[in-house]
This record gives sequence, structure tokens and C-alpha cells, in this order.
Amino acid sequence: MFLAIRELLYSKLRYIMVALIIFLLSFLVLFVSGLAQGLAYDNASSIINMDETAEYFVMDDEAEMQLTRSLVDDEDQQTVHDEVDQSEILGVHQGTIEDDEESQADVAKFYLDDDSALFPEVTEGEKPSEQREVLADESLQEEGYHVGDEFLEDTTEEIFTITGFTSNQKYSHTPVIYVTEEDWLELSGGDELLASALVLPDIGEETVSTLNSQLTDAEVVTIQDSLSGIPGYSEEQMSLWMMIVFLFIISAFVLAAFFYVITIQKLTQFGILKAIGTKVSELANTILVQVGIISVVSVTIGIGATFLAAALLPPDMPFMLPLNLVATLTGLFIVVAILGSLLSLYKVKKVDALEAIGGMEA
Amino acid sequence: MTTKLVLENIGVEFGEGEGKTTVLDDVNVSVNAGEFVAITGPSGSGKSTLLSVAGALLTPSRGKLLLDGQVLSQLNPKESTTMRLHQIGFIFQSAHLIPYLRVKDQLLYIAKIAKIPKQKAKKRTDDLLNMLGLNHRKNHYPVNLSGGERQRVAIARAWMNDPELLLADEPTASLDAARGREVVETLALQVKQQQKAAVMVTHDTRLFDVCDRVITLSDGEVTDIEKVQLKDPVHS
Repeated sequence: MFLAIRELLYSKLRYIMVALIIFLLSFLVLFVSGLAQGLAYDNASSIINMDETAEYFVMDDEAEMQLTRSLVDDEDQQTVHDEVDQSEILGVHQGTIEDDEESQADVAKFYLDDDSALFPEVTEGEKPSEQREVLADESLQEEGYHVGDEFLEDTTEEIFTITGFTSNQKYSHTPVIYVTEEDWLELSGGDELLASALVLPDIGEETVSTLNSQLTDAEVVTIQDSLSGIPGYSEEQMSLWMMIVFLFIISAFVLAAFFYVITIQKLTQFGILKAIGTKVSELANTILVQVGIISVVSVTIGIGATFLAAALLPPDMPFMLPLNLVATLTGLFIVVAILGSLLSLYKVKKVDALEAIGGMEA
Repeated sequence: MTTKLVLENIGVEFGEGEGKTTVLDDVNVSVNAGEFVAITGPSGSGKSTLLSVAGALLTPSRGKLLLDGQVLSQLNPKESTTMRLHQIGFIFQSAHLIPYLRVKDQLLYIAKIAKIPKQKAKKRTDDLLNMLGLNHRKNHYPVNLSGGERQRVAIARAWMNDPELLLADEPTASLDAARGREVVETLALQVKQQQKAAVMVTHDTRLFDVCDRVITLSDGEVTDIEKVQLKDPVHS
């Protein structure tokens, strides 16, 4: 600490430059992560929110995890009922709605039993109670819809009424509207409710494998895995997370190079310190404390800047940065910074006091 | 009189096979407590190498090194670091101060790694800076000091851990004659008063009268040991 802090204060400019780079890199990492998270949520918040209360989907094994293509037949539904007490039918159907001015909006029509814990909370208006009534995601308000407004549904070609709004219910970047049991029956075009998937709670690995062996045309997948089946989801996420991973790799190399150059410049000093009796462990400690202080300070500023930037973003820009993600990324960043200084530590260990001083040679 | 430092049949070789150079060959030197010894000789005669060996900075190829009766030549790097910290004070050719430490911190740092209690360290720092006339430079960085001042800080630093053995490699090289003499006299006085041992490499023949003995090295061998008539350094 003695050396570390005094040196940081003495060579302010040099270390402020390093700190600036760490700040910029951490800001970029956090911002892109926020964007990735925000896009994921904007795309699939309805499914992500289901993951909070439930764990698995039973889906058609030929649907490639796409809910809109999936259909769980009666036989498989019965198998699930025999094995698991709690299961909810989830119906998903994509379509369009049209207001009285004939302007169209893409929506995803969802069916869930409105008594189940999975059914979203109403944030404005009321739960639909009768046929031809729906609960819609609040993003539909951007299309000009209000509580009590009517629209034309494209499959049934009937007029529906919005009785209430809920929040964070999106599927494939379109707002979700929750239809009643009667309407889903009608949309199913028959006398029984079609199930795009059965939603199951955390039933444990064992029951999952039992079910998988018994189901004929269906499979049990985690809700998390099923996200990849949502059109566009994995493409968006993959490209953004690839950027984040590369940013981390770049950070590691940039920091390693920076600390290494600084260490090389100071080799003589390390040599003197060794000659007058400083232990290698103390020198290593000095470097690590410096790296620690610089990275913690700059990442903290980076976090602040990210939240500031997020507050200044237009509201319809998908951006979301949960604190646990911030904590993980921050930790990772500091680990990367310390990894970057390992090369310097090695160099310091190898410094020969005699060689560094130079003047001692015959 | 107790013998502080003993160098026994020290040999140092660099390189192997055809390129092998013998820098020191069978050197025997011993320094008693309270004795201030000068080593001189032409360039390349092995003076500095001998000093490095005495300071446990360089492990000799042959021979034995004893400080206060303890064998130093067989220590591992970690043990010799500890030895340097507690028993040996170094003064290098150029001051080699730590650029980002203020003058008082240069000394306090030694106290810190040697685990000297704070109060005692502060007092010793003040005493040493006073003695070397550096009190007004206490809060300066090395970059703001003159060459002579830097060298005096280096000397204060070498004394800081109260070493048994003081090793100086041309400590006066960057000082003018008067200042150089003053510094060496201060060193000699300290050595006498506290019964330490000191070895100084120097080319400056004008300083020999301050020393107790002058050892002349030539081609890695001791060619001459000359007793000097001791003068009282304070009044010279």
C-alpha cells in the first residue's frame, strides 16, 4: 500500500490514462450488455417472465422449439397429466389486428388460464371476463390503443375489446394479447383447447427424463432453451454477446500490454527495491493493489456512466441492465484486469537486483 | 576486535567454456567492527563485483562469505533479500532513489519493510536527515534535488535500517570534492561511533586518508593492502 498509493499519486497522468481506457472499455461492455438484455426482453419478455414461476415447456418435438409451430396432442397431454400434478396449457398464435382506421398491428395471441399464477398482472383496466375481451401488453398503447378500444381480429374476423393492459409481455418483438378460454377455443377451430405447449414447474431431472421417454411426439425443454426458438432471438443475442466476449478479450490484452510497458519502464526501480531488501511478494502486492484500485475506480465510473446514458436513452429503446448482471460483469472485468497484470508480475519476479542497478558491474 | 565481514577465497566467474572470464580469483578480505575500508583499482579489476558479493547481491562461484559469523554465500534469494534488508546498507554509484517517494518516505519505506516501529522510524528519519543536512528537503521528490542531495538521501537510506555492514560503490562520483569528502567523513564517523563495518569502492585517492585501510585490486586479485594513518574525521 505504501508504495502503491504514493506512486499512483505521483504518476497521475500515466495512471489516469490507463483508468480512462478501463473506463471506456467497461462502459462499452456494460452498454452493449444492457442492449443485449434489453433486446432479449423486448423480444421475448412474455416467455422470460414465465421462467420466473415455471421451469419447463412440453413442446412438439418437431417444432424446433418454436411455440407458433408446436402442438402437443391429446395423448401426450394425458401422459403429462399422469406424471405431473401441475401443468398449464399455453396457446400461442401470431396474427394481426386492425383498428377502425384500418391500420394494422402485429400481435401474438396467447392463451393461459386466467386463474393460473402464470397469468400476467393487470396494470391498467380489468381482466377480461367475457368472450371477445382481451388483456393486452402496454406497448400496444404506442399504436394508439386505450382501455375500451376495439379492434378486428384477423383469424375470427370478429371485433374484440381491450379491457386492460399488462406490462412486459412481448413475443418476437410484438405485443402479446391474452384471449379468453372461449376465444382460444374458437381460434383453435374446434371443440378442444389446442396446446402449443404445456408449462410445467420445476419437476426435477428425473421426472423430465421419465416424461421424455414416455412422450411420443413431444419433448420437455427448459423455458430458457425454448427462447432460442423465438424468431430472431438467438441471432440478436449471439451477435451482441459475441461483441461482449470480444470486448473482454480485447480488454485483457490492452490492459496486459499497458501494465507490461509500465512495468518494463520501472524495472530499474524494482531492482533497487529488491536490492534494498523488498520481497518479491511485496512488489507483487504493490502491483496488484494498483491494478485493483485503478480498475475498481474506473469500472465504478463506467457503471455510473452507463446508467446515466441509459437514463438519457429514448424510452422505446430496448435497454435493460439488472444489477446482478452489472455485478457479474464488474467482477469479470476486475478479474480480467488482474489477469492482464500477471505478465508484469512474472517480469518483476525475474528482475535481477544487480542487473537492474547496472552500476554494480565490474 | 570483532570481525564483521569475512570474504574467504572468493572466486567469481562469468560465462562457460571458451568465453569464461574470471572476475575475482581467490580474494581474501576481512573487515573488523569500526573499520572503514576502501577498495580501489583500475576499471575492470573486479571492485564492484567484490562489493556485490559482499552485499549478497551476487553469489560467488567459489569461496565463503561471512557476516557477523553467519555464512551468507549459501542463502537462497529470499533469505539474502531479508539479509540485505536487516544487515546491509547499500549506497549505489548513482543515488538510485525511488522517484515517486518524498525524501522522508524514502527512509520511512525502509523502516516499514524492516518493520521498525513508527515512532522510532520517524525519529531516526529526522536524526539522519538532520545529520546529513537535508531537513529542509524532507518533503521534496528526488527530481527536485541536486545530485549531491540525492546522494546524501541515498546515504541516509543506507543507514536507516541500522545495518552492520555498509557498502558504497563510488558514493562520491556525483559530488564535488568538498561535498564528497564531507559525505565520506560523515560515513567514517558513523562507522567508528557505532562499531559498524564499511566498505567503499572509490577511485578518489584524496579520500584514502579518511579510511582505515586501502585494498588495491588488480585483475581480480588483491595486490596491495595499505594501512592508513587514521585522522580524526571531524577535525580534518
